[in-house]
Amino acid sequence: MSETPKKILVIDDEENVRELLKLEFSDLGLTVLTANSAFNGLQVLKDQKVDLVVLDIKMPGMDGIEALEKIISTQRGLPVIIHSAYSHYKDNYLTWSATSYVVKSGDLSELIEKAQEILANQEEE
Amino acid sequence: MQELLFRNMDKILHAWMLLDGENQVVIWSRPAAEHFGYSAEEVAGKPFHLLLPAHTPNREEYIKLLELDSHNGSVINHRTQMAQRSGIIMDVELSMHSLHDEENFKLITFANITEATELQHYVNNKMMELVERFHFFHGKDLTPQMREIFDAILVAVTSGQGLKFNRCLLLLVDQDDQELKGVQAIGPANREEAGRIYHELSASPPTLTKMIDLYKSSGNHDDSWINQLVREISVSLADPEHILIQTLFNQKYQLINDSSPMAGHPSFNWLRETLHASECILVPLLWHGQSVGLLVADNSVTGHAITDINIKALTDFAKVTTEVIETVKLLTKLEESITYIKQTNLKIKESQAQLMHQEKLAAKGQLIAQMAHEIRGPMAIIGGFARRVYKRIEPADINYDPVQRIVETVATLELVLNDILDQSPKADEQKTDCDAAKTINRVVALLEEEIHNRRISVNINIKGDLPNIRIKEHHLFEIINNLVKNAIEAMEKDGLLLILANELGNMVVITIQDTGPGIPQAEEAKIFSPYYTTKENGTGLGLVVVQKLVEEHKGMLTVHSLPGKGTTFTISLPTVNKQEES
Repeated sequence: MSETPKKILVIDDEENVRELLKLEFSDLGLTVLTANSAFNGLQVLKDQKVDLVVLDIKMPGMDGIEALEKIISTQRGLPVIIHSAYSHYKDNYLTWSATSYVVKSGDLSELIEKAQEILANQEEE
Repeated sequence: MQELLFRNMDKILHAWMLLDGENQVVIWSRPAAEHFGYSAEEVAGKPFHLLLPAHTPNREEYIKLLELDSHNGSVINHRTQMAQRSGIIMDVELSMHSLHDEENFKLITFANITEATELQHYVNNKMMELVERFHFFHGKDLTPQMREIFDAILVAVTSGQGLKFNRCLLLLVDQDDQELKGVQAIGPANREEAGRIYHELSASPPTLTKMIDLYKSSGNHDDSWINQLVREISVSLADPEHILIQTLFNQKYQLINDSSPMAGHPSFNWLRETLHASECILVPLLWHGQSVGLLVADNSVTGHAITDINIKALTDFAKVTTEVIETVKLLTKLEESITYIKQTNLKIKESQAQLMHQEKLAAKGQLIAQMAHEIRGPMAIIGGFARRVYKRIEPADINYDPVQRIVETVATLELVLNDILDQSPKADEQKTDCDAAKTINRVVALLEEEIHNRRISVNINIKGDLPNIRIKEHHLFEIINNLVKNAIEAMEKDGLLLILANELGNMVVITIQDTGPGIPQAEEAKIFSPYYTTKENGTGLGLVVVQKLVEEHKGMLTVHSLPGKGTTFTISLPTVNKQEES
C-alpha cells in the first residue's frame, strides 16, 4: 500500500452526480477531484497526476467521447471509466478504448467495484 | 425514239395531263381518265379548275397561284383535293412542270393518295384512342387494337377507290423465329360471299372509316376462310429461293402470273395453289431500308387483271402501311414500358408506405428510449443519495423505513426503465450491409495526399462483383482505414501497397500488404495490446479497434510478417446473401 492516497477525477456536468461520487469515493479514502465539463477536466489532467478518471458522455460542449480520445492520446495508460445514463454508446467503438463502461444507476456498487479493481491492479504493477 | 418514249409515258408517269397557256386540258393519260372517270375526248379543251372541288378557294386561279410557288418552273408533291366525275373527292399529290416552247405548256402528274391519307387519319385517331385508354386500363392487351389497325390497312387495299383489290394478305417478319408469317387477311372465300359483301360496301358512302365500321359490324372475321389460310403461311427467312423471301429481300414488287420470271418454280406453284389464284402481286414493306413484311393482293374473285395503276397504287400504299405497322409496334413497346413503369411505381409506393410506417415506429421507439435515458440520470442521483443515507442510519431510526422505501422504489423504477430500453428499437440496431470495394476506394482516396507524398504505388485488385458484407459502412471504413494507414506509415518512400479483395465461401477476404520493415517476431504478439505503438503520435489503439470490430462481426483477422520484406493483414468478414440463405 502506498502512503499517498489515490487520486480520482470525476468529469460530469451534473452537480448532484459530482457531489454523490465525491462523497462515495472519499469514504473509500480516495482523493476526489471534480470537473463540470470535459474541457475543465482536461485542464485538471494537465496540472495534476491522477490515477483514474470517471467520465460522463453526454455533456454540453465537448462530449465524453471526444474527451476520451484526448485523454488517451495525451495520458497514455491512464484508466478511464465511462459513466453514462446511456448504454448504447457501448456500440460505438470509440468508447471501446475506455477501461470500463458503467451505466449510471442508483446502486453505485458496480462503479465502485470497477474503480477499486482498476486501482488495485495499478498497485500491483 | 420519241414516239417510243411517248407510247410508254403512261408506264412512267401514270396519271398525267398537259395544260395549255390558258390552263385548259390538251392531253390526258389513260390512268388519269380512270381516276377521274372522264375520257380524253371529254376533257379536251376544258379548263383545269373544273377538276377541282367546287369549294376550293381561288378555284379558277389555282394553277396561277401554284406557279407562284414553283421553283425552276416546277412544283413537286403538292397536296390537294380533286373531284371525280361521280363527285367523289380524292386526296391527290400532284407535281407540275412548266414546259416553255412558243407556247407555255404545263405537265401535271398526280397520284391518288386518298386511302393513304384516310388511313393516316384513321390511325392517328386510333392512336389517340389508345393513348387515352392507357389512362384507364393500364396493362390492357394491345393485340385487339393491332388487329383493328391491320384490318384498316386491309380494308383500304380491298375497298379503296384507288386500290380495289379483291383480297389482301398481310405477312410480317418475325425476328425471333426468323420467319415470314401470315398475320391477317381480308377477302371473300368465293364469288357469292364477294357479291354479298361488296353489295353492302358499294351501297355505302365510300369513306374508309365507314367501310372499316361496316367490315367490323359484318361479324368476326378471325376465323374466316382467308384468315385461317393466311395464318398457315410461314416461310423461313433462310430460304432465299422461296418466291416470298426473294421478293422480301429484293425489296421490289413482283407480279405473279404466267409470264413472271419465277413461273414454274415450286414456291411459285405453291403460292398460286395456296391462294387459288392465277395472278397476284407481292409488295414488300420497307422500313428504313429493311424489309419488315409483305402485302399480297389479288383479284381472284372478279378475275380482273392487275393493271399498272393497281400496282402503282399498292406500292405507294405500302409505304404508308409500313409506317403504320412500325408505329403500332413502337406503340406496343411503349405500352409495355408504361405498364412496367406503372407496376414499378406501384411497388415503390407500397414499399415507401411500409418504410414510412417503420420509420414512424422507429421514431416512436427512439422517443421512448430518449425519455427513458433522460429519467435514468436523475433516478441514479435520487437512488445514489438515498442509498448513502440508508447505509448510515440504524434500523431503529424513524427515517430508516421511508429511506428504504425510496431505495427500493428507485431500484424497481430502474428495472422498468431497463425493460423499456431493452424492448425499444435502438437507433441503428439494424446491421446494414456495405460494399467492400467502395469502402476500399474511399479509404485510398482519402489518404491520397499521404500516398503521393511518400511516393507509394497502390495496387487495388478486387475480384469480380463482391457480395456485400454485413457490417455498418463506418465500421468497415474504420477497419480498412486503420490497416491502410498503418501500412502507409510503415513504408519508406517508393513502397508498394497491395490491396486485394475476393470472395471465399461465405466470406469476403480483404488483404492489405505493405513493403515496410515488417514486425519483429518478438513484437508480433504485442501489436494487438492496447497502447502498444511504434509511432510517435500513435495511440496504440488502432489495431485494438480493428480486432474488436472484426470479432464483433464474426470475422477473422490474421497478420503475417516477414522482417525486412513487409507485413500482410488479412481480414475476412461474412457476406450478407450467404448468411441469409443459410
